[in-house]
Amino acid sequence: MKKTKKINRLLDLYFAGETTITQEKELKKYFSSNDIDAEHKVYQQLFKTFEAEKSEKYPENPPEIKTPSISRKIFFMPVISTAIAASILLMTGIFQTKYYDDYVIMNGKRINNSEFALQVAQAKINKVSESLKSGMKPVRNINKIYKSLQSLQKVEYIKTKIQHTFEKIKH
Amino acid sequence: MNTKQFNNRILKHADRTYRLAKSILCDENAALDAVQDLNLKLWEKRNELDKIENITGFVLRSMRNLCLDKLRQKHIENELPDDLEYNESDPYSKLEKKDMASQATVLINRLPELQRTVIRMRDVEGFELNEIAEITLLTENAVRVNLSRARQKIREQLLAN
Repeated sequence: MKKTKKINRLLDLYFAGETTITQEKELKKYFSSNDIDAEHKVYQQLFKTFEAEKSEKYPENPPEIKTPSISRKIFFMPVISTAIAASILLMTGIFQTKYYDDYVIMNGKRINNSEFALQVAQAKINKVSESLKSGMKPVRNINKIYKSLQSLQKVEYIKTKIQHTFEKIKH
Repeated sequence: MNTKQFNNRILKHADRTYRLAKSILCDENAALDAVQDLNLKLWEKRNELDKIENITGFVLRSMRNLCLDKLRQKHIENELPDDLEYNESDPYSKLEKKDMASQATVLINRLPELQRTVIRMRDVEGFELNEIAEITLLTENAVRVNLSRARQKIREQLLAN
């Protein structure tokens, strides 16, 4: 009974915007327990929602800047669907990136940290890749895409991957 | 600010900036873009970032301003429908998440932008009122008023259902 009264008082303060962080922590602790008074059940979902939202993470790889060479990064570009997606973006002009020895031009801006630029590019490319997987954007002109990937094929590892993937698509 | 400092002091806020962008824009993909846009903008200004004392506040304020600019560009600020839902890219996950979305989330998302930003800054991120004031460029009292209004509205709707 005493506890219920205390929680009622805290809830009144809370909804008036007058609780301290410590008091709010007490409320969160109470609502995350299994011992909640029936009259308070209506608020439980609200506090659970706050906790759930707090645990929500940035869904892509955590951004991080590194400073290795560009060619090394290109080697790590994961799957060929990414490359196809990139070529579509390049062709449609949605996202334009050019690689130079010591910097990258992205959407018309010069970015000296190429690794960071590639990380950003990767995130955008992945989105298109997902669309391709779901069949929302069918690949209509395979040969055009294949041609656009020629510069990437200078790297032997990528060349093999591209050829293998295009063989699969054709059959 | 060098690369390491930029990673440690700016990019580490990705989770928070993402949550804030998602709350303001009510769109997961737009929130992802906003985080990337912000990081790029800050990277370009990295040499000026050393002068900033409260970098967390600065990053979140920048994120909010960027999101509000995006909303203005779309001419949808203050015109958000009451039943606004998050825009999922995949229709199946949209249905699934819609089922799972709590009533409380829906109620928070129906609040005006400022109120839902303030309530999430406080109840999700755990910021003090003066910190929220710095992020939103409001007075501390105005933050308290918005927080109170937001919570009251949610309480009324929880009790009405």
